[in-house]
Amino acid sequence: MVDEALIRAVKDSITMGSTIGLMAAGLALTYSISRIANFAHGDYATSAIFLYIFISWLIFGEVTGDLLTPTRNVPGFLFAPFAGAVAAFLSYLLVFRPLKLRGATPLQLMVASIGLELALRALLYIVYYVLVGAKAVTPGTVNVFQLAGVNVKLIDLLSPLAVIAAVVGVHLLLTKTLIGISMRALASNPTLAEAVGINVFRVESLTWLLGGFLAGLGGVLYFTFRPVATHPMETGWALLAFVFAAITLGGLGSFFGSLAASFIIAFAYNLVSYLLIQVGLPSDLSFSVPLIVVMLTLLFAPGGLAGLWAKWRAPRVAG
Amino acid sequence: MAGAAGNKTLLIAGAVIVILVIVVAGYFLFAGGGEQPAEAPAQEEQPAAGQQQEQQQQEQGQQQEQQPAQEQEVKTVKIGILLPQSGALAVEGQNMIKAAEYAIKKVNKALEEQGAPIRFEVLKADSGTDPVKALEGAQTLGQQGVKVIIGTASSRALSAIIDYVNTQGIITISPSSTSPALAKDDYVFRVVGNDRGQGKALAFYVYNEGFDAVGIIVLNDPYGLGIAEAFKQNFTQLVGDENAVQMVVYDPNKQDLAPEVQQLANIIQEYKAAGKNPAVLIVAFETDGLNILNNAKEIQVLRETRWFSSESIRSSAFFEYPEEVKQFAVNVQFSGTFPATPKTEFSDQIKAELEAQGIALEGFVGYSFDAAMLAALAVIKAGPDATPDQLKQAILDVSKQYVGITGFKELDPATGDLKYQDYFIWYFTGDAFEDRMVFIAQTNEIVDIAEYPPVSGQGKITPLNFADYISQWLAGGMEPAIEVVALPVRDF
Repeated sequence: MVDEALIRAVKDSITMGSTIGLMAAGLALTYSISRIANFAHGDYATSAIFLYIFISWLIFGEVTGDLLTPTRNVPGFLFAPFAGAVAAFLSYLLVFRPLKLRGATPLQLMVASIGLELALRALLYIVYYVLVGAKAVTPGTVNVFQLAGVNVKLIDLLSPLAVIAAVVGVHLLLTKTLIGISMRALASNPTLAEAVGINVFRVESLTWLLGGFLAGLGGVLYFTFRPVATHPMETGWALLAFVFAAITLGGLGSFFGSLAASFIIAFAYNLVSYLLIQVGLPSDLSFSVPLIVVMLTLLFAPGGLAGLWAKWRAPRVAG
Repeated sequence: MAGAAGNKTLLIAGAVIVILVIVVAGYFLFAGGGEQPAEAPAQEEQPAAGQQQEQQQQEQGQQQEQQPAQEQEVKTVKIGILLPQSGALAVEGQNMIKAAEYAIKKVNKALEEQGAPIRFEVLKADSGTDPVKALEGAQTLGQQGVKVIIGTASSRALSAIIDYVNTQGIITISPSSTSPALAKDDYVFRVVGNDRGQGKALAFYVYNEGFDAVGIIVLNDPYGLGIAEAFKQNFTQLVGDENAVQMVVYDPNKQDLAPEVQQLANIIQEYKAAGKNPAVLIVAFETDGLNILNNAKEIQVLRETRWFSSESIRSSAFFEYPEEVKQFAVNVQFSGTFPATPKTEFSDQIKAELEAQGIALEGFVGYSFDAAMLAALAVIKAGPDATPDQLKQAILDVSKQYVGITGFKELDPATGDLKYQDYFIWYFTGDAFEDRMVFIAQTNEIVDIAEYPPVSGQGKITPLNFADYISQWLAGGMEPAIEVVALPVRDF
């Protein structure tokens, strides 16, 4: 008989990889265009979770776990990611763009993003408190079928679908539309792109909207998949280590590399956790997985998956 | 040009900061008036200190006015209330203060009606939740000459004042400190059972239900570990197997508890593989508890095991858990312990009176009332001029006779703690926590709730008519003349 815990670890890895992948892909987009190691990225996910809760409150007049079930709060599910998009766009417009125009260095931008992270999270806490109160809520879930004792949830099926949709959508955007091509141009050579007349502000704005949207989508999916144990408004911050590990392993700024890296990290995290428990070691150690991934990547393959892919592909394309 | 732009930016930044400050201040003002304890202290501190001084001045004024009265041989005894007026416990603290004041007011009224030559005067100080503040408060009260302090609310604050009150000989009665570390023979008493008692009650209960192995998932703090260790000690003794209990200790600040729950599942699986009949015990608070149950419902072996819990998870928040989590709890016959309060006419009457004044009897508010009652009765018994040691003895004596609104209050001379804390055993039914049985601490027996308080001779525990109680104390030469009809199993 196959081990129930192992099946669950695999299932969780797929869902976790999908949700973190969406967030990491969003960060990869904004990073590739704006070159900011954005600590506030997790809070775009949290903003979306907040909107998800807020919409439930608008519809039902109260916030309970049951009312947050994805099937009961469909409008919330559809609209919540836009809160991530808006939060990301506003932080670009009000914080990062003015700083860049004044010639801020990447380090200064990163420090600014830490400040933004703290401010945004505190703000979300305050409005959450006014709306919901001191309690933390956990959304209900929908079981679809059972596999050897493991409940497979609606969210476990939706998350990979969302990833597929994102991959197809972004691929089409980057290859078939003018603005997508402009994005690629801006990412590979900002000065030249500007010189040939690309509207940098418009392209960057779109990138931040898209990056925030993906973060929001990943955040809401993660929230309904595995709510954090302390407070819903901590979700983005709690996942940031995974997201940073994913974009580092993915090859800083590579959309598809970050997605692939997220799955690798999610599998590593869940399987290491599974093995640690099997041999009776503290499962806390599995939290070192994303950090070890970052270290190893920077030591041995600083270009990440994207770099390795390019290296593998180069001779074949040339030949 | 650049200077002008810089000025403009500065101006905008300044405006933004001002707006933020106003918004935040507005928020705190609203929340402070409402029910947010954590944010309250910042804005409450000053007015509270001001009021306090004012109040103390008033009280001192009254005291001076009462000087002539003292010549008519009515003696005034000062009782200090050192409970949180600010800080994280401020909301409950305010109600605890009111309840204690109400107790003293009732005693004073009864004394006046009886023409007794004693009156009590209440002095208040703020303990916050901060040890430094608590000590300052205790010192202020000590200088004002209080004989007894009702306080503090938290074990942390209590441990800060414990040396001071012991050297000064000020009897201190805490309504709500539960840390086992403070159980000593000194001038400090506590009217609520400590965490060790609950661990023991749980051990007997789980053992009685026929289980011979337990996996515990417990949060890593003094409260959680206090209960878990006491449970382990008692349960392994009952079963006669050192390995009958295994613990998963989790960090309450951890974001993902799924691995810990899986660890728990493996422990239960191992016990089952070894042919044992295991159960789960969870010692957690609301949010982390919800997360644990939410993860546990996904794991088959945990769905097929019975779950027990400490009192800490039992709160109204539980009813807002997602339906499947509640369903899981019902399926695993989720049940646990909660400090028991026998229902008497006295307790019903006082509860109604307190509630009529808008004092919600939640948490430790009732214990605060009982602490003040014990203090007042002991002073009446020992006399207004008693030495600290006489007063200490009087408290121990009075406590044997006093059935308060939170139950039997007999104190243990060796520790100064409540000697026997009984525990209700509740079941989660899906929409309520139903108290079904009672763990009787004195005999380690578990009885049906209908037998609690157990029937004795003429009926249930004799309701205490308050005025009678005082008058009997006075008439009987400060000796208890009233007969408390006790539990048959108790040896009063």
